[in-house]
Amino acid sequence: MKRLLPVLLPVILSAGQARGAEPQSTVGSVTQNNGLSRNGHLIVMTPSILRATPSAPQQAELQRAIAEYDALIELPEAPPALRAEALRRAAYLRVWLADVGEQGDGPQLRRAIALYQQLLRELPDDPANDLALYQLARAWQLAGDNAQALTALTQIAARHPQSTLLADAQLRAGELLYAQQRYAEAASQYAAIVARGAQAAGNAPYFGIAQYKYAWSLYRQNEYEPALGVFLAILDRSLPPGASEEPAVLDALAAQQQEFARESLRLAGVCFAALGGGTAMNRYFAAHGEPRYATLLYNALGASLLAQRRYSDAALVYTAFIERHPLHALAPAFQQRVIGAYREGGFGEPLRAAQARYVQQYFPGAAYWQGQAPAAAVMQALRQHLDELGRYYHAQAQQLPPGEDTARRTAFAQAAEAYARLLQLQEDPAQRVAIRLLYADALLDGGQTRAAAGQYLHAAYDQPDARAPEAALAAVQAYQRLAQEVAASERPAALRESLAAAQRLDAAFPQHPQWAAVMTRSAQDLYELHEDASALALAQRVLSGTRALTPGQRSELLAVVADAQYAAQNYPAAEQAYLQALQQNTAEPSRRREFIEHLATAIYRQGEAARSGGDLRAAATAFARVNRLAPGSRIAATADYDAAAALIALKDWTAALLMLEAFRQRYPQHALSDEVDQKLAFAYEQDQQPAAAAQAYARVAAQAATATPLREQAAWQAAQLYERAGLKPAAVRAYENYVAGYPQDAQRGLDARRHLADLARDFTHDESAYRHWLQEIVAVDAAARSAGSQHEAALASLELARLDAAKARSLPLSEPLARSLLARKQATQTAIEGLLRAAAYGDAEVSSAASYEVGAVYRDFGRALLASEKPAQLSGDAAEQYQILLEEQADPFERKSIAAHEANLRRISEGLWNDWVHRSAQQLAELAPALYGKRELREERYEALR
Amino acid sequence: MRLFIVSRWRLLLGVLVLVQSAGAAAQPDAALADAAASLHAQVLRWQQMHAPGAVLYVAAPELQPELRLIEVFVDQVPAQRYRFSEIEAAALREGMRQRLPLDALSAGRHQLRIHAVAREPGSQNREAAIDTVLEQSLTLPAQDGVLELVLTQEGSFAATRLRLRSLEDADARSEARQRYAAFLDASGQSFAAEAERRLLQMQNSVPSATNAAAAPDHDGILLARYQRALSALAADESGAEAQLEQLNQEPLRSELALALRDQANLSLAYRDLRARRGEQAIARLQRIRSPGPCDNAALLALGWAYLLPRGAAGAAQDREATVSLRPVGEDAVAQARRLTPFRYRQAVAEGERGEDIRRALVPWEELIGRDTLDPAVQEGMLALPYALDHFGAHEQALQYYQRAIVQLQALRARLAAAQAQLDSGELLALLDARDGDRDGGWSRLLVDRREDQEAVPLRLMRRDAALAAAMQAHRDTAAISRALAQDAERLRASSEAQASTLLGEVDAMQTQLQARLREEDARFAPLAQRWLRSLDAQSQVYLAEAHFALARANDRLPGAPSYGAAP
Repeated sequence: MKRLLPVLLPVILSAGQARGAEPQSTVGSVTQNNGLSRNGHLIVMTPSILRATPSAPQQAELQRAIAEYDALIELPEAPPALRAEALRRAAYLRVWLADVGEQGDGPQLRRAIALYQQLLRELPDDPANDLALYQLARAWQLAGDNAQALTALTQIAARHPQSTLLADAQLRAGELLYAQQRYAEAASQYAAIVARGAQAAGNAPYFGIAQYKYAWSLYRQNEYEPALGVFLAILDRSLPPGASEEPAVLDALAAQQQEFARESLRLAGVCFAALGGGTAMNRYFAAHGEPRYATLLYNALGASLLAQRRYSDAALVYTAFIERHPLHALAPAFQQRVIGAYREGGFGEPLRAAQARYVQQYFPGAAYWQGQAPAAAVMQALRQHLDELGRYYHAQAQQLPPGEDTARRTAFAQAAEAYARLLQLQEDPAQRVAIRLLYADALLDGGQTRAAAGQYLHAAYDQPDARAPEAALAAVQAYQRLAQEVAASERPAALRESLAAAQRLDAAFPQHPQWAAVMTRSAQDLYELHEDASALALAQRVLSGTRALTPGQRSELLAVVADAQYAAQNYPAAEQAYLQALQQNTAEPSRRREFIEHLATAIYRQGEAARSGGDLRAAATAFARVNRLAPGSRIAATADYDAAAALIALKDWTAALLMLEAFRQRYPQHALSDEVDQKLAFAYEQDQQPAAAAQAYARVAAQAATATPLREQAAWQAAQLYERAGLKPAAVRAYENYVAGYPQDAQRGLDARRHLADLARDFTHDESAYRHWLQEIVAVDAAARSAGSQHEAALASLELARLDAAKARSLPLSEPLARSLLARKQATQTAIEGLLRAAAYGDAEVSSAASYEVGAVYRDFGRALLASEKPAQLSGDAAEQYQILLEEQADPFERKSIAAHEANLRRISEGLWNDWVHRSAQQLAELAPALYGKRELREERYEALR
Repeated sequence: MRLFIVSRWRLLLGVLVLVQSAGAAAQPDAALADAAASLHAQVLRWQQMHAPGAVLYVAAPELQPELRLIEVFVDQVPAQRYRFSEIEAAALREGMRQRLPLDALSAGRHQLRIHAVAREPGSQNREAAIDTVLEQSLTLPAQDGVLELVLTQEGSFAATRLRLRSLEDADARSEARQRYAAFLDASGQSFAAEAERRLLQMQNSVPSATNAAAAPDHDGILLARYQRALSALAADESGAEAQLEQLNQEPLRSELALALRDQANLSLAYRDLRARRGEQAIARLQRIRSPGPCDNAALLALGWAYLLPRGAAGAAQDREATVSLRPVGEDAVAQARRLTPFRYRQAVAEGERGEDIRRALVPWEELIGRDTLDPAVQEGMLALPYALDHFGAHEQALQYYQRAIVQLQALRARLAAAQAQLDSGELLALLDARDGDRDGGWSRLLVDRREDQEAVPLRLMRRDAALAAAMQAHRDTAAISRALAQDAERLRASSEAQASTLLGEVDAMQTQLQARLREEDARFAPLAQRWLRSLDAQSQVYLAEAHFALARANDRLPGAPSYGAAP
């Protein structure tokens, strides 16, 4: 109850009050109850508003703000100031959201643009419109319409020249123009900012970038000199006071300033490059003075040219600096850049020239240093360049073809000089040895062999290190080469130097991997120096030693041994040595041939000795051994020949023939081949091998170099031997060859023809050939008669006539008789003529034979008539008459036959009685038996006489 | 948030118009009205002679509760039902009479049952103070019987009595008729009242003086004094303030006088606000009546007066000084901050300043529940969340901003609906319907007083002088036309010879009245449209502020200053 009383009390009081006259309610009475209100008789408590509850400020929702601004804008009667602010903010927030990527869609941006445009339309003179234009430009840009953005930005300058956003707007406009490559317009924007100065209100944040972009704009328009002025102004402003020579001065700048400065530097270089490079730079400095950071500019220009791959031009720029400041502390560095430029550009010759120049200019003691020691970096560079130069010239020289000796020597000399200089700078012992070896190599390859050898010796023995054995070997080889290079008169001395070097190697490096090679060569050299004993001893020492020898070395050493023995005319020992050497089968072909020659010679000498001593058999054996042991040696053929000769002398035909045939097979073109054939023919003949002998003789006959008489004889012998050997075809050919080849000896020619005719008649049965050769005999005799030729010709003629007679005899008289009779008659006539010709020779034998044959021919003809075929149609009397006629026709011929035989008989009175006469008598006995049918005793007597 | 200093001149003008229009009614074409009145009187007289009907005069002299309803049943059949407005009830209390026709009451004996309801003035409670029934039999000698119903409160317990009697006496009837004419005048039916008076003159009846007709013009004198004092105050003449202050000392009873006193206190209080005399302003504002014509402006000003820093009297703030939304430069930003009460947008007051805000919340809370058409209410809808923000109740502040937006948008919708009603003619039709309601006086009263069916109350239109005059002209002409239409209806129902003649005159008059009505409507419409547009424009201003406040609350980019030249 007590609790309720305070609540109820106002109710009670108000109720009482309600019954009475109620006073007029006023504002004061309404509010005096602190919000209490009357509801009839009750006074109700305050509404919730009076219990204002503190709370945190709400999270800003930009989209909500935009919506509210948009709603405000839609109110046509909204207060202008609010409306303008709403337009401004609604647009700005949209642009801001698009800027941060939350709301980049087109409709919102377009809406923002529309709002700004509306704002500018409605309040064209509002002082805050500069910001509106600025943001409008931003919106246009975000929407992708840079042209509109540009329009808005340029309006700021036109309408709000005092705006704090002017510089920003101009910069943005410049950037847009620049991006569109409208450089002239962009430049004007940037220039406006620059013109106002860095300290002008609102300009400071943009001045630097504007200046920078201004320079770029000029550059883009290829206005290099104006752009240069701006770039240099940037550098003037950016770089600290004092000379700025090192690029490191840029590192101390703030980030953006550093970036601008670096770029300005680079582009200044590009501008100078466009204006002509180093000369343009010098010209510019002459006109405008050289800035305190000129060194950086040279570097920048050089870098620019390098970037454009204008390596030579870059090098010229660096060179220009050096020329302008030859004693500058950075001169070596610039020369180094020259080298770098050429290296980068791949220019070999200029690079080397630049390196050489570096060496020349900055070598210790050069005028540049003025008595001071070079800096460590320079020394390092010198070493590097000298090393490169040396290797370069060395490689260049090595690549030159052997024909360009002058160039090679020059290059090697240059390399050597470089190495020599490098040696002066190099303190590291290991490096020094390597360099000295290269030096020595260059000297060696450059023809300065002696000097090279000396350097090798230095390297090997003065400061020996791991490469000392190599150097020692090189020294030996150098002296060996020297020995080859010097004149013959000086060679021995050179060889001795080589031997001395080898001895040193032997002493210092007995385990040298090439020890055996060196000793082998030394043994050879000793031999060459005719110190045979030393050579022999050395070689034997090496051969007998424990060091492993290559087959080639062993071979060489054995050769030395062999040569030494050979020189000592200890041919058997030499032979053994050479054989051993050859057995190694490692020598080079030339050396092997040499061994073979020497071996052959050694054996041959043994043969000569035996022959001189009368021991032909031993000589033959030795000579034969030459080819067996040293086949292919020059003397082998001679040795074989001599062996054959010895055997022939021993009448060991079989062995001799073997040797000779072997020679012939081995040396078919040898100069002694002819003699070998001659000997073969002789030997075969002696050995009763007519066929082989004939062949040999035939070959001899074919020897063009052999004297003709000998060849003739050989040809006749060949034919004879062929015939003797029963090789008729070969004999025919041989006789024919003889006839064709040797007409000088008529008699032999007739004999050959005779043989040919006989062979044709008896072997080949070639009547034409037989006739030919008979005719040949006749012709020869007719051309140049001699005692022998006449007889042969008569015989030949008789045989020819006999052939004709045989031919006539072979013609039958058959129907039609007229034709056959004519042919028979002609053939008979030909035979008679031939027989008469034969008889005309006056040779009794032949004549008698011919007469006989004549008689025979006539008789045969007559008989043939009588035996001729009679016409079939004839019979009886006709046939008898025909027969009578035939007998009448045949009778003359019989008489002629008788006459012929009678003529033959008459030769008896001349003292001729031979078989033909006898036969003619017999024929007469048959033909005229009445006259000649009696048998005379004288026939028996003549037969007996015969 | 910007400070809103609502133009007090607008308020003043509105109040003056309201005061001026409270009494006198604009007159249509005087000649036409005069001719119409005479014609209507002739028809009434004809009706008396040829179509009489029973009537019931209702009287309620000295009745404290206001008579609200009279229902009459004749022989169990509803014969009449009438709802009385406050003004009509007050007129009855002043001795005037309402006359209700009882056509169903013919000569003879009848059983009457009369139901009366009365309520206390200003009562919101629907429970009736008086609800009584009278059942009585009576015999009417003639068809034109005249009855009088009198309601009184008698006895120590103020019991209500109903007395019904028949008025046979001509004088009594004449007096009743005169009191009825006065009633018509008091309830704004001046034409009908004039016609009654002319009828009485025709009948050689001299209208008796009524309270309402013989009121002395105290208000006019007072108004003149007020206007002079106001002018002197505007000219900053000495004594002007005292003259206006004098109104607080005088016993004022009329509505106009009370309204002038309220206006004077409001003017003085706004002057004190500008001079940063907060306490003095508070005292003056607290005297202003609420409800009243200046109550909203006073509540608004009272809140701002509470927010004035105490002891900060001195140089008056330049009334034209506005806080730039976009100060440029640090100096401008600093000055802008100085011009705002709390320097920063969401600065939270503590200690005494927090208490100041709490005090200001009270009148504003009261204010925002009122008619949103009032610019003071609209400003209050924004001032309240503004105060809450600086009190630290940020969430509540946002809610109230949003509420203000909703209400102002609803208001604009109402104005648009009103525009539609105006364009469609519905507005005038509703006005005519109310004015022509025969079943009670509420409809007419609602036009002047309360909320009604229109989107924008017609009573608010009366704040605009030209609009009020045009609307009154329409109402008067329409009332004359309605009266003549009723006359024509009666005349047509009769076959009496004079009826047709009168009918012809009535028809001719009606033609003129319709033409006149069209002219008045043509004047009314644009005025109404302009007025509606002005209301809408005003609403847009505050709506814009509300949107702006919400936008600003959310418009904070990372790193942006809380006040300054935000881009």
